[in-house]
Amino acid sequence: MNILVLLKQTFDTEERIRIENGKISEEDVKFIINPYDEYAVEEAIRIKEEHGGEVTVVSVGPMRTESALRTALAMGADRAILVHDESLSGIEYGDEHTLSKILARVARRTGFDLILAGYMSVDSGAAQVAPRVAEELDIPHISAITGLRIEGNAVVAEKDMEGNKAVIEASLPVLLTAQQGLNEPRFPTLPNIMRAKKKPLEIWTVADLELDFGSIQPKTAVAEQYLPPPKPAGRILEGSLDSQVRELAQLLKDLIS
Amino acid sequence: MLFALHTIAFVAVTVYALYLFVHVVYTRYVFVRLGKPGEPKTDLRRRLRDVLVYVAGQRKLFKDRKSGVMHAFLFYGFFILQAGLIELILKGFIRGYRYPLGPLENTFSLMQQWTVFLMLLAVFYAFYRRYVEKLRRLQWKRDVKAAVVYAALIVITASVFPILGFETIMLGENPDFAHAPFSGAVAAAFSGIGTQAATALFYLFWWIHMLAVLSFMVFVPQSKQAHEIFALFNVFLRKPGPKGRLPSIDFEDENAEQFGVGRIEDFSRPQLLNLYSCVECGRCTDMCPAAGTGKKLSPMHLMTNLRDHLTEKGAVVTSRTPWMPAFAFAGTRANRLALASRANARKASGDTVAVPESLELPKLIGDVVSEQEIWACTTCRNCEDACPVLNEHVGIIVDLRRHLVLTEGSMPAEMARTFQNIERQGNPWGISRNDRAKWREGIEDIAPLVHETEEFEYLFFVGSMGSYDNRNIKVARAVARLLHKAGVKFAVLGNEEQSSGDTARRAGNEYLFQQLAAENIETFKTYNVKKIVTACPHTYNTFKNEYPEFGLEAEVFHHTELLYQLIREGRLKPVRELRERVTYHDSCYLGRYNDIYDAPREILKAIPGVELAEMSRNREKSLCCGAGGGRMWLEEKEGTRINLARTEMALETKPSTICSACPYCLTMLSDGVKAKEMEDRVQTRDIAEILLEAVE
Repeated sequence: MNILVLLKQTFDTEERIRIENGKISEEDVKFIINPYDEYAVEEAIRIKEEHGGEVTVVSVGPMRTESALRTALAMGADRAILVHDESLSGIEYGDEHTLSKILARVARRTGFDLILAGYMSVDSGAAQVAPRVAEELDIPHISAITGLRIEGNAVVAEKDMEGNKAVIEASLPVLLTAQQGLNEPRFPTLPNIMRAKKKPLEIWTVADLELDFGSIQPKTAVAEQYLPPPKPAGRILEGSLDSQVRELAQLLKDLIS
Repeated sequence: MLFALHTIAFVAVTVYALYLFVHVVYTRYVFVRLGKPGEPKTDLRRRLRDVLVYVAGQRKLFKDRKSGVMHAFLFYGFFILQAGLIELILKGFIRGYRYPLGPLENTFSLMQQWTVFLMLLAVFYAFYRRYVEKLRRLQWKRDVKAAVVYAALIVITASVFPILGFETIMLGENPDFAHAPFSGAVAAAFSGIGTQAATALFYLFWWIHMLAVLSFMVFVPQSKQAHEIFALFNVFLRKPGPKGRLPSIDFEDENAEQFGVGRIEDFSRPQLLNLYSCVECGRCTDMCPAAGTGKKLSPMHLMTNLRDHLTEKGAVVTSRTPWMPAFAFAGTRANRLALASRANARKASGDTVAVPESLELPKLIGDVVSEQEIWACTTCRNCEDACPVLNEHVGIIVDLRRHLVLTEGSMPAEMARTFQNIERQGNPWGISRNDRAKWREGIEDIAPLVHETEEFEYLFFVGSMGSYDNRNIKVARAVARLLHKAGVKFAVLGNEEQSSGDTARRAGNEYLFQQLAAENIETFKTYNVKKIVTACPHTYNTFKNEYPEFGLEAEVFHHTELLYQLIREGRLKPVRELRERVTYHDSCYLGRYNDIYDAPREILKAIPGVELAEMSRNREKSLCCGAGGGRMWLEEKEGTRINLARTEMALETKPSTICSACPYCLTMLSDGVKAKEMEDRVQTRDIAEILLEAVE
């Protein structure tokens, strides 16, 4: 089975966001595989271990993304593709539209039976890229799955539905996005980390993909980036119950006016 | 004719027994050689000293005084008895033979008689301890071999008196009560039987004695008594360096496919020698916090299971039958495997033979030792401290963990997360490393950062617990205040500090540990650090005993050492009276790893009003809090909780304060006190907090 995993490198979830010159600073930041994408990588490797095949991880992003791809290779992926060139860094890798166009083209090039991705990235959190890729490729998708069974061509996925569980059937080819709970990603072993250094990591450019640069221009623009205002300390109202209620009502009024 | 038969029989039996003995010992030697070479044998003086102290001096055995005395009689008695063995043998061939010792003849005789008598008493006492007193630690390994040992020793010792007594009658001599009191008594009791009957009985007991001695000689290396042969080498070949030091892994080889120990032959030879040296005395399991709280891990069974596995693996690899005489033990699994292995080799070279047995062995990790056991260890070294033959159980467990973590990537999910957090943010929780210096809030002026101060004598290494854990932040602040009060010039690394790597190393992630060590040492060099003080015994141990291998040259102090020194120098004056009954809990990494028992007690004694109460298990017997060896970050679902067991011991002393000198211990004990709903009546505090209250 030919499995493609869409992967993004994000800030470690514990990183403190710093804004410098109106932009998020990447200086001295630890990067990780987007945690939801890590579930996707793990699931892909498990499917490969059970059914055989090849796992290709693909990402669009700056050169630092190589470390995330190498980690995926150390976990057990076979091949990694990074789409990167000057034109892309010039538009800061665009938006969900840009990425889905590029990734869909990559998928057509590599071929696939199954595409896995995280259901969203922990940085921008739009949860759009993977479903858009499915749309571009004209294949079905099931998002935020917490369980998966594949037999022959049949795919049975589970997802949480407001405390209940939905079981959804589809057939290959299909795109699935991973939610927390799907699996527990493995810890790469040392021999595999060493081996991953020698596995193929290909850099593809927009030109390689024969994409019209105009067609991948972002459809959205970031107007401003700022930190949320610091949370003011809480207040405990005092006095009689009546006066507390009156005070609270007044405070709420002030807040909305 | 009869004499010739007697002589031929004796020579034949002796030669056969010697052959069996050599075969059995050499087989085990070959099995041990299957391991990897140990570290270079340096430090000959220390090794000889160890042999004097622990073998000749029997130091560890006296931890259990009653058994120690018993063993000393058997140990020294054995040598004295051996000195008389040749004489006894020759008596069977030369009528009335005695060593030509001249005037010492009688003294020698007296010494032999009393030695035999005292050994006999010691054997009966050993029997009593195991079967009547039912000493707990002797009940865990129940097999017939212990009984065989007692029976053999009783026969060997008790037969000496009839031999000598009937010899006296045979020679027509009078009993010599002054120099041969016990055999004299036998001679007196049977004086009427006549020389012919006495001669027959003399030879009967002589043969009983000789057959018992020779059988026992063959039996010894095949049983727990093998320690009589292997323990000496075990003590001598012990790995050098500080207690509990773990040998490092060389990661230079990029093609290495295997780290740690995944097969029995991946252990070092000194480690494999540990296995055959095990006495099955149960002292280790008796002290083990995991075993004591109902976990499956038992250090003694770890050793014996590994040993039995080595014997089987050795049989398969070398085709040597470990159990001799082979015909008598044909049914043992290891002997069957040896024969099957031989058949297999013939088949491989083209013979048509059937291999009678599958040569497949149980897997080392999973079948012989379970992952559950491997992760249950707190690395407290209580087992090692108790072991009379100086076995090193903890190193064995860490080697198995290394295999699981580095080669297999298999570990509890919490452990993997902890490693990942340390990797990314330098602390076990994964809290932002930019928040590391937050503990200083409000005391920035007394705890300056390294680059804010012009010169500092000590680097105060706060550690992850002191930096992030709310309870331990208070301890870090107390230490800073005390150092400041004493006028010690110190600085902290702030956000440039990160995990010392002790957790990573003890939990088997040697790769992460070495990365952290290299980075930390680099940081220390950048700021020209000469002395380091820390409130964490784990950090202290790894900096002091393990970092030098990676290039650290600084002097390392635990806060209790430095604070005690400051009190002695008069720079800290505990003047305020604290009306507290304090029980001090020894941290494993401070006590058993580094022998620091007195400094913390002296600090407490220096505080007016403090009454020190010792727990039933204190100093080198102190029970672990349950958090060492990475256990701090793992769930404890198996059995009962170790921290509760320790807290209960502490509460038995009726303290008003339980004092510790380790952030993990503090956390575990305060959790324990809360679980016992005693937190209103009993405080849990770090020694620095108590001292600070007394100097203010």
